[in-house]
Amino acid sequence: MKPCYSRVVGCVCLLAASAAMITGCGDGPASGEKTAPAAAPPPGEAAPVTADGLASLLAASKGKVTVVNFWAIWCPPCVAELPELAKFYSEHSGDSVAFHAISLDGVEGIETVITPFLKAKTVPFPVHVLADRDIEAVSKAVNAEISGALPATLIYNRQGDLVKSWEGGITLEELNQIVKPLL
Amino acid sequence: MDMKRVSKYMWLVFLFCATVVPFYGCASENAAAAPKIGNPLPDFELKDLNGTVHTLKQYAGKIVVLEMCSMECPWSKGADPHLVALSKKHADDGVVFLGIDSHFGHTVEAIKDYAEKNGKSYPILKDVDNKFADAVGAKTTPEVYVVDKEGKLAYHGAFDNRQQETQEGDKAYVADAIAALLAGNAPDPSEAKSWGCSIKRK
Repeated sequence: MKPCYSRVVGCVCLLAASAAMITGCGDGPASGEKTAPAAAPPPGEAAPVTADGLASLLAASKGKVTVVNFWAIWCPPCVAELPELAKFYSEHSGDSVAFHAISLDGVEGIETVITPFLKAKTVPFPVHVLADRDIEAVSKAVNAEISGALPATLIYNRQGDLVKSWEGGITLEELNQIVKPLL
Repeated sequence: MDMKRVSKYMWLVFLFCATVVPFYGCASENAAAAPKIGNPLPDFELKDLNGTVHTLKQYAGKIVVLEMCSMECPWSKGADPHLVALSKKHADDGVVFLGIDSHFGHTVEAIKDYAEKNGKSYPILKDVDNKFADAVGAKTTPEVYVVDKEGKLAYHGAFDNRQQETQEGDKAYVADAIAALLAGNAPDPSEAKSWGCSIKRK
């Protein structure tokens, strides 16, 4: 009996395409009308970002595995996972991972609340503070269904396709389990 | 195609489904999808902080406001005074308010202590093992379900459109939904999202 490899390969490809369509949570980061990426604040500092700016930020990250983490200082599980995210950020600073921390704390508190908090916690990554907290606008910007529950972490492959939408706290190990196969 | 070849392909399908599909799945895998507006909300049988059992069915003929709540989440705490005021406003209108705490690790004693200190006067039900939260796909606190007199979901989502946990929004979704139902109308909007805290599941 001669195995029919081409059919097998075809079958797997068809399945892969179908599964990607069925299980994908979105079509990846929105390309964004504006192509200029949002100015990233220096590591450990915070700067405002609009929903459009967030879309541009993600569009500029295509080609890298991209992790977007929505968090806030008022959210205890968000604060609890910060050390795990800090380890992840440091561990992947030399490879093709883009990490974007998006704060829901409000731009009015950048100087008085957020920056002192980041310094006190020695947060190593830059933090973008959402100036536009309309959930529908943010969902559109990241091309994912955002429920509004924090913390939330979105992970995109190099092509910019969303491969995981994670709600609740995440650990370094859980992040790496998702990210490493995509590198 | 003979049976041997078919079984070979089935193994490939199985392998693919077992490895790729779970990896690409979205979060909250154990939770059901949110019920659609106009559909009956799943019934529950949950104890309040004094051990009294409540079911949705027992409130048939009344408007029921179910609030997924948290004694720790600032967004949930921010909505508490407004929900309590609404519950008092509609006390004689056949509107029932129930809080539901589905968070893993929140004890009945701790919730009771919070409710007493903060004047949260309507019953809070403890959703042990987040079974009700899973049944309705609840994700956030606060997340509100307003059920009409027929037991059908009429409104689902944010308490109001606040952009900050302590700043009152200018669109009071839940208050408007109750007013609409009391006037015999369908709430508009019937759904709205809210930032808040994820429900800590077992």
